[in-house]
Amino acid sequence: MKVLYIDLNRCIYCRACEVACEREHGGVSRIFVTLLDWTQPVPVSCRHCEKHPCVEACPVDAIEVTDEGAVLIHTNECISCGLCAIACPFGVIELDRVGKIADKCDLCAHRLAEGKQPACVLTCPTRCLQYGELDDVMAQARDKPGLTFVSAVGDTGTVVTMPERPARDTAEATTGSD
Amino acid sequence: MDDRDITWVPSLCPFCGVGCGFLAGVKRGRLVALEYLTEHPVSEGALCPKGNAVLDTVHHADRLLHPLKRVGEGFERISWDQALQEIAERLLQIRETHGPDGLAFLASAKCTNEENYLMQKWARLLGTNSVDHCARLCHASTVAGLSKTLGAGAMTNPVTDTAAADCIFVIGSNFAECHPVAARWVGDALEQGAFLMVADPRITPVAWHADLHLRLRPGSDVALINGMMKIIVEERLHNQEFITSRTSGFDQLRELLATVELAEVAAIAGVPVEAIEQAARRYATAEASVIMWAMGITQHTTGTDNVMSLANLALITGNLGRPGTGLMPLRGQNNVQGACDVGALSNVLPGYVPVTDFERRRRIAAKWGVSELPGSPGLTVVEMMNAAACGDLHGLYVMGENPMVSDPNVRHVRQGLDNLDLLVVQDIFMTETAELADYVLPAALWAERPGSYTSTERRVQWQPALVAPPGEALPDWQILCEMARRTGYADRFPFASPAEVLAEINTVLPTYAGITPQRVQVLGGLVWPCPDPDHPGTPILHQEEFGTADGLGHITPTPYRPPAEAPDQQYPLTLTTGRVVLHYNSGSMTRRTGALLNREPRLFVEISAPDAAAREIEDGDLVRVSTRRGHSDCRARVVPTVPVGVVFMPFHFAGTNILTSDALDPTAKIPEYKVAACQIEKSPQ
Repeated sequence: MKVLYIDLNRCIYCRACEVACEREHGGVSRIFVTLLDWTQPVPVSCRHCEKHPCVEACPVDAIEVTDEGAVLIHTNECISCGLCAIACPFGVIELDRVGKIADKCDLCAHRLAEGKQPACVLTCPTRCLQYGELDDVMAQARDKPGLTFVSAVGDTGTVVTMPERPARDTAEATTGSD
Repeated sequence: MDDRDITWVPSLCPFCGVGCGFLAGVKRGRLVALEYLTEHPVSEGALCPKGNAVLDTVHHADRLLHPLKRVGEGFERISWDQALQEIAERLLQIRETHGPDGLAFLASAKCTNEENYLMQKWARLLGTNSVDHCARLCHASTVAGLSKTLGAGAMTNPVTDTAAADCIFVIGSNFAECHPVAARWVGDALEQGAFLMVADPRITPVAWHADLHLRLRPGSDVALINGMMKIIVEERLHNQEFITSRTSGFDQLRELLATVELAEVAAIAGVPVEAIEQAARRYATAEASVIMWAMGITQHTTGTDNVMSLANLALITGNLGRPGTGLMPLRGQNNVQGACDVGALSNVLPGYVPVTDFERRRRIAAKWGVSELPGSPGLTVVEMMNAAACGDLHGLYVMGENPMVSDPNVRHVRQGLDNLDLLVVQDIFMTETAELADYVLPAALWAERPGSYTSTERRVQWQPALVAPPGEALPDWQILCEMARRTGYADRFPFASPAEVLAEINTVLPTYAGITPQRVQVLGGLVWPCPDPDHPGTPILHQEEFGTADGLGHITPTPYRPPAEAPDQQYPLTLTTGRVVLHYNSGSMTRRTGALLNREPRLFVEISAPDAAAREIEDGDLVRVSTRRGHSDCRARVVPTVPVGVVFMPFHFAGTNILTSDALDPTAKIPEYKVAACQIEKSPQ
């Protein structure tokens, strides 16, 4: 089972993943990096949730859950109601500005079909984003500082390692402590 | 992307000095796709956002297509023959009337080794050493400082070596934004428990990961480093064995350190003594410590001193010549290292031979078929602008540089450029500098002509040509050969290809002797020194000996000197400048790229909450930033990541360098971009 792994110890907020995704998907990125508290960037893309609000919300069943557990939008059937975008708790579904069609991260299905990894994964300068077998990912994650959360079901999912970092007061001159 | 009919060619990212590789997809004469080159030894397929957007500039609608000649306020299109002939005649005329030093040349850290070699050879045959380039503005102090202390002005260890370090000292570098792929290897080290200590006034993405962050005042670096060394020596943490066997000058350093008072250091740097002690102990006692730096160290009137004190720190603790250690100046441009190596600097010939070195100058002259070459240093970049403004410089030939955005004190630059008799600009876009030219020559870019590029870790790699240049644009090497021929040096420029130029470089530049056209065209190229065709290259320098005449590292004590401009009543804040991850240098490429511009569309100033509140400035307000040299308007960003008293502006937009200071480091002639006194107020509108 292959998962997308995000190690939040490693993100440097460079947005390479966004620019790569945009290039691979006709000018619209499906991954979004947000900066929290001025110092913690968080890349967010579709989590292929086990309980999938977007699927429940869609009035025309345009969102499919595959046998592998991936959540896929069939854009041909989209009626632009926007309910899936509202329902998604991670905010990763967007309607394109002109055609109002909903779309989201599809783990670069077109690249996976050719045996290539997702673009965001290959481009990430720091290996913050990885794609691999769940067992390999978890073996790696165990040695990393921080807590690791797994949201994976069937054959797809996302694993995130939350960083363990000292609370930092950014307002005053920081001089560290040992 | 329909993969049929696409030819994938291993290529080099044209942006920064990390030298990442990628696969360029060519289909029917156009660059249409990009793939990730996971086998590349430095980047393993990774690319930062700029590298990901590299396709956008190649077939851009703004590309210069035809030679242009100034007519009134505008330009008229002329033929190549007319352009080259007229320029050649005017250059020779200026030399006739004002002597060869009435001419100056700006080479390009974005052009190939071959092209930079050709330009400096041409300038010197014309009779002037006034050939320089933007390295002067970024790492000239590194080259000067490391040449003096170690005998070689280049990064000592590979970028990937940081993964093997136990202590990483980052001072004046924001590599997470400026050299993002370098963060990959530092990240590996941190995961294995390495200690990251960062000296930077701002809380940068590098500082987010720091175990210790010293938020020093801009310009206080020598004080801090001397303070660290005082602690190291007092607590007997220095490496006496290394000092005795491999260095000279330690006693003189001890004498200087005896005059250093830690309380004074803390006051100058704005960092508590306890933090300086922690930094010193960590750096000195780690098994392998590495120092990474960039503009925060180099762009000061004390830039050379800043670099030499870092060299001192590494020398007294034995952190050189083995994996996981070293002095790592992160070079900016994709080929600034190469442009320096092949002598596109006004004080040195290829191989860093000082132009004043009679013996070695004669040997290079002989290789070029002449009996002598000019023997006094020429004008450096900022000095060229000063000379133009006061009428001492008459003709300037600019290749792939944009002084109207990149140089400090831009108003003064404008005065200089306007005052020239002849300004020629050879570039890919109508840049802010090209707008002022008498002649504009359309050049090919990275994908459109072959050549070698040298990354920050001395890695020489080859970029093949992928597509044809647009319109009548020509490869820079061809334009330069034509210009050289038309100014009387045809027999010195017989080259039919860049490979032939590299073959000549092999005979002139000992460190490149084994980096032949045949050998360089492999994935990852070769790392100099590579003195013969069987040599595998040299990733780590100074393993047995330093490059100095006596083979020792020369510890060079540097007393603290303050920056040239201090805040005062009228200008009470300190302006410092730098980069953001989404843009590249003068922005001529990245501000023409939607994916990047949309995410970072305009100039801004970062200001702390207390400084903003005192001026009734809120986040997003339009403000006016003023220095003694001029003012710029931009939007305020009220942030907790700059200290009180310091403001920050990115220089990718034209307004920033109107404000910056052109005070120079006396040795390296690099301007003090990092410290200017400024005032900010809500915009008069």
